[in-house]
Amino acid sequence: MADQCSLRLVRELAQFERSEQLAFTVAYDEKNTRDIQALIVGPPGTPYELGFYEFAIKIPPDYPASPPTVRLKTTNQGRTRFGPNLYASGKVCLSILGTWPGERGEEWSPAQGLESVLLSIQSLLSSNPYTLEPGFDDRSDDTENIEAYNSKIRHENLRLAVIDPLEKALQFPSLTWQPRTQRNGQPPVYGADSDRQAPNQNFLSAFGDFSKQRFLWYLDIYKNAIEKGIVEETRRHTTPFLSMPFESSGNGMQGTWDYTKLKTRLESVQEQLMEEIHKWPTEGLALVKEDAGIAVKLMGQHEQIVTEMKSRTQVMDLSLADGNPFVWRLTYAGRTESRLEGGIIKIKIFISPRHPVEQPRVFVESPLYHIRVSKMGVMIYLPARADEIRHHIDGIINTLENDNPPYNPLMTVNPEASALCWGTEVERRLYRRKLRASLEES
Amino acid sequence: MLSTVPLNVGRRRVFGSVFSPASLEAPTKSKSNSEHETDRTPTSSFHSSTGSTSTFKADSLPTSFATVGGSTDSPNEETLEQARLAASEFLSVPNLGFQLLYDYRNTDGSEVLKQWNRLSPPSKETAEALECLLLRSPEKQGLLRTIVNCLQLARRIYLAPVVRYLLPLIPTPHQAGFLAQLQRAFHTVVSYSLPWQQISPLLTSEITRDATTILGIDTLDGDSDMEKMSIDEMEVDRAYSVSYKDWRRETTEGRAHMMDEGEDHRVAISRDRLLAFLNGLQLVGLGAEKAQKVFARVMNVMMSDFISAAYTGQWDAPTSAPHHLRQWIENVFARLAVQVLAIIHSEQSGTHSGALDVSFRDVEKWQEVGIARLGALRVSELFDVVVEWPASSGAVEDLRHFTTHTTSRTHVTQSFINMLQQRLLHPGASTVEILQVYISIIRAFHLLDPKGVLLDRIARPIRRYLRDRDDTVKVIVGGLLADSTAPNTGDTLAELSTELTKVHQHSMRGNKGELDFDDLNWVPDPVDAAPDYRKSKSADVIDSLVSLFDSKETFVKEMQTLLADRLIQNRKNYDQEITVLELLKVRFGDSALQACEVMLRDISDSRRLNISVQKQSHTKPRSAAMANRLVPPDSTDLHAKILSRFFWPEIQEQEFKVPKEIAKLQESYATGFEALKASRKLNWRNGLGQVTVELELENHSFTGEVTTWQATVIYAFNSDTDTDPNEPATKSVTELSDTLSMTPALVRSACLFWVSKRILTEPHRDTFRVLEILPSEHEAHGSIIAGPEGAEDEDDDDANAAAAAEAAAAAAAKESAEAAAMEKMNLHWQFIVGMLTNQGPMPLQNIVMMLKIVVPGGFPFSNEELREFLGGMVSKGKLEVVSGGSYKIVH
Amino acid sequence: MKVTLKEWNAIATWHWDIPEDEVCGICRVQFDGTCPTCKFPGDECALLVGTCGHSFHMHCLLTWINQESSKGLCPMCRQKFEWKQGNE
Repeated sequence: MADQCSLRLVRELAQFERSEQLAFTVAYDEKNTRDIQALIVGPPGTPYELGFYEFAIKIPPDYPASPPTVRLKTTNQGRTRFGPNLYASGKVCLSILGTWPGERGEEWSPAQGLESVLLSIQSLLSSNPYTLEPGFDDRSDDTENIEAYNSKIRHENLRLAVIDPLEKALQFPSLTWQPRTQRNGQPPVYGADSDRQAPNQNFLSAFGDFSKQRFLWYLDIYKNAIEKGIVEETRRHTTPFLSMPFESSGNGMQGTWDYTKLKTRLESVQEQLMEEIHKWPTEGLALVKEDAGIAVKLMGQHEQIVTEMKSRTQVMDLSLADGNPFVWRLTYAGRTESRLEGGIIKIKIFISPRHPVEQPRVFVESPLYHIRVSKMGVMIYLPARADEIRHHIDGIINTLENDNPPYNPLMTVNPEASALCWGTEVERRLYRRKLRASLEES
Repeated sequence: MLSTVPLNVGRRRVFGSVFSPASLEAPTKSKSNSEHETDRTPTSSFHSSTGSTSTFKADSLPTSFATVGGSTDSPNEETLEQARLAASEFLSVPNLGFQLLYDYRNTDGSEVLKQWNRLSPPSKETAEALECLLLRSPEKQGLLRTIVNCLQLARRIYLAPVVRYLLPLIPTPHQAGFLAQLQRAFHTVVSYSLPWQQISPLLTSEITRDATTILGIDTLDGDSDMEKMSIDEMEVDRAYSVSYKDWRRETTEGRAHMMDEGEDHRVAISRDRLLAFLNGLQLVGLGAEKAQKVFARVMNVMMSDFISAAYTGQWDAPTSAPHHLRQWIENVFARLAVQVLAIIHSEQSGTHSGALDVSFRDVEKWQEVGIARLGALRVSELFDVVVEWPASSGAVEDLRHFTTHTTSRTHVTQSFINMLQQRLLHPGASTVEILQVYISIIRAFHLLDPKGVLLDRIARPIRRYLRDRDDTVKVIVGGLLADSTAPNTGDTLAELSTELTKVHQHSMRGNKGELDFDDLNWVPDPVDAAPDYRKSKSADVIDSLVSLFDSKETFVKEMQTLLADRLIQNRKNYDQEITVLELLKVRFGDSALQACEVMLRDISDSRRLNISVQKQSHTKPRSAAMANRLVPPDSTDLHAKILSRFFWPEIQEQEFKVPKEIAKLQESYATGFEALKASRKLNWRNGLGQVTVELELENHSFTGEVTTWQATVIYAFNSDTDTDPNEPATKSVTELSDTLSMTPALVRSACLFWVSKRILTEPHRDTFRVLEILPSEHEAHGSIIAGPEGAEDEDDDDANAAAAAEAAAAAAAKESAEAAAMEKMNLHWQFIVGMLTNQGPMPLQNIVMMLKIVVPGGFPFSNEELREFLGGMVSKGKLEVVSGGSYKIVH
Repeated sequence: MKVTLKEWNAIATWHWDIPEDEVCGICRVQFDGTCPTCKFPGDECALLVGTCGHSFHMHCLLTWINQESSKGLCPMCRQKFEWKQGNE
């Protein structure tokens, strides 16, 4: 019954909005909750590490009696099979989805839901996907194949699940989730898969800004992975991928190892991203002149936060860079007896003219050796609510002041600092020393 | 002398307040352009010029000035007369002829001055006389009239020899020119000797006096209306009246007649007098353009005076005020103007006599001005008009003639919003009042501007304000659920429930959404509509109120809470709730009110269930024999309301053990329930519900409905149980609290309740005893507050009294220990709540003062007792003490 | 003093008498609420208690059981769903 279906969906989606997990996210149109876009971030420590895997989920009218249909969209236009169960056609073989014969306990039941589906899919992005192929689950001694398989997935993960989506996101104007046709009316270049009904909808991602933000967070890790690839895969450089026994020509993973090329593309993406961010203040100023709603709103929010800060004894200062409400400067002085004591941390917050569709980008300008701050100064923090800047400020302060954050690989943006921070006692001390040193420098 | 207090100062002020930016169009009353006349306050220029002119006047017209003003009564005729004589004597120039001046023409003049007696200072008497005249000379009503009369004589004296003897000597063709020349000469002398600044105020008051009568304004003045009316009924010959009220009562012919020929004797005299006077004025050269300007100004004021006198508060529908006003302007106002202007024509126009000085277009223009002023009057009255709605719809009709321009529309809304801020949107107004006015506004403005643009603008500040009031939702929902047939008590918005029913009746016809493409009468939104203006569907009051809140959830939630309160009460039927819910469902859709529906269903199901369960327990009495044997034959009737917990609002309740007998009954009820409703269990909410108890004591008894916890506590005192029937049961709070598993506060509260009912007494703090025999000699004391009464009880030894006094003090501070006092204070409490809600925080003194006024037979408590009581309310969180020690209602 | 309780108007709430779980595993609504197809809880929106110990709103479970793919299994534990006798 449709009514039953949508009521339950509403409950599930509301739950998603409340959850704070970083591993996946969903987007949908309020008017049609039965078409859901989902993105799973490849689990760290796997060949799919921090790749952006997009899925289109369709909810059948008799949901939850029937399972949703799920299609992988990150397939290199139907050419790449990302794993034994992630077909090039987009098919996701999963017993819970009824797309694969499974054992009794693994089949769909109304007790399952969106979250359990996404978790199951996430488990397909495993550290050893080779053994996920039916009949290969006991082939863990196939070390050569396993190594080669992981190696090419690692490469393609960077190429197709990180750089490609970013290039697309940069190439096309920032999108809310709603699909648009191209202005010149030409058919889109990407994603013209014949087996999908709405190709336009498919090449446009609902997660453009999400990916950009994550890309900046994880940039150091991507760079490390590429450096590592260049060093470790020198012998394979420009050689074609090895084919796995279960792969076929139409449903496999073909290509060549070329990390140097990836490096160039990654750097270009980074550059373009920064360029894009630095355009925001100019665009913003134009909006200020027009007295546009967003500009007025940001001004108001700034004023309000500053007044509130005055009433509290905050060890920080907030101002607008050149009076532009789209660039905020936050100066934070470390509290006495805290790890940040004596440090003056300067933070610059770039706010998009399309906020909150595009989220603010936060850069620490002072040298700060911190687990939540990447080498290029990008800070990872979680605002309680994404639409108001106040929550972003709170998120930033909380992140700075939290001396004992829980370990979360998806929040690791500074691999070196993270390794020290959660390492041995000696390493931990080293982390603190380096943090101190960076503060003194500031 | 010329000291004048302008008669029309008071009127001007009235006019100024009515005169509004929208009617700024200069009211041109005659052809002469009055704009050029510098509008000076008549008194302002007086002192500066007095000295110079008085000499001349005293010299040339000693007699006229000597007699001037002699007609009036104050301050003392004789004194003034003497003063006048003394002054004249001192000032008058001896008639020594020109020769003297000629003789002394080459001297320094001192000799002449001496000759003329000009160098000796005035005697003391003379000085006093001067002072008296200059400073205290009273207003002379007929001053100008006298001046004119005298001048007319002077003119005749001046011209008589000429006309009689000289004129015949002049060739005929030159006669007219000769005469005119002399005439002009005379006029020049007059106008030179009588500066216009001083004549103009006199003329103003002169014209005003008669015009007020001629135009009928003097008969309109408010209070005399009633008298006049009764006289009207009695006398066949009705006095001349331009009263709108009288006019409305007439037939069409009668109306025309009233204006045209209704003129009575009094008016005729006035008219003749004024015209004669103006004739003279014109003759002596004080007429013409200058007089026209004065006349124009007076008529301008007259129109405003008339409009405010005739139409203020005349709001009946259908309105004929504009019609009446037009008639008055055409028949009365213009008539006077024509007559007057025919007399005080300027010299040139006087030559072609016969040409009318007032054209038809002028009359039309005046009518327009009049209508605009009527509009301005209505704007200034608008707030009261709205408050009186719907009895005042005529006034809104008047206003419709006025709100045809964007500027006047803006003016209406602006001034109305200001009035709202001043008179409505402040803490002194209760939410009910504000909502009431808002409802009237919605209706009134719907009539005024069906497009809703004005309403949209006006409503914004009200809506903003209402959103900030915490009890707004409550009042609205309460109003919807109110009993519309009950008399309006002023604290509920019962009108809403009427409205709800009404709207439902001519229900939901053609609700076609935003754009109706078949609507051939469609017109675009007015130009002055706000960008986010959206046309509301008709004057839908309920919609407007409900849409005050961002989501209907807030509304529905409040509805749920109020509904829950009412459904839990013990009542025969809930028909009204059902009706209201049905009506709201039409409005909000079924799903939004689903929970309310479940609540109602629970109640009706429970009723059926009660019958089934009872039937069941009767049909198989054997199985329930055990239970039955324990229950006394006159067993309690147990009724239950079984609620579906997720659909009811959170219900606050206290937990405790009900009497064993009741627990047994509940148990068997639950068994019955479980038999009927498979796999379902009950949780008793013992803190809720009502119990009818019957108490029999030695010389008194009690029957009534009380709460479950009050019943449980008093049941513990039942002598049936295990006590000696001769000894009145005595129990302490701790004891009761333990056996009943009830919080001590609740136990005490219940006990105090029974103390207030004269069932228990509190011999010691927290110990209660059944009052088997009502001590008749103590009847007079009443039982105001538990504590003091205890102190006055039989064995009034000191320790007892001290303990009781302490108990009373503690009781006041202690939460929920006020139940007994509350019973007595309850009535007053309602007063206090109302007062503090409507008038904002008040200090104790003011509260006492108000209570003394409002409580019939006087407020029986002392300031101290009230302070204590209010202190209790503060600790209960119902009141708070704000700055200056004022008490404030906590919402 | 003789106290007679003439009439006692009590208030109670009802709840389903089921072993565990407040929420129906299928529609994820509390049992004491209604399944998505019903408007009134209780009589109209009955529960089914399985021998496996799992309970569901009747309507929710029937929708599932009527589905061929359900194979008559309990959505939670995937045992054969049989409801306890004695309850309708």
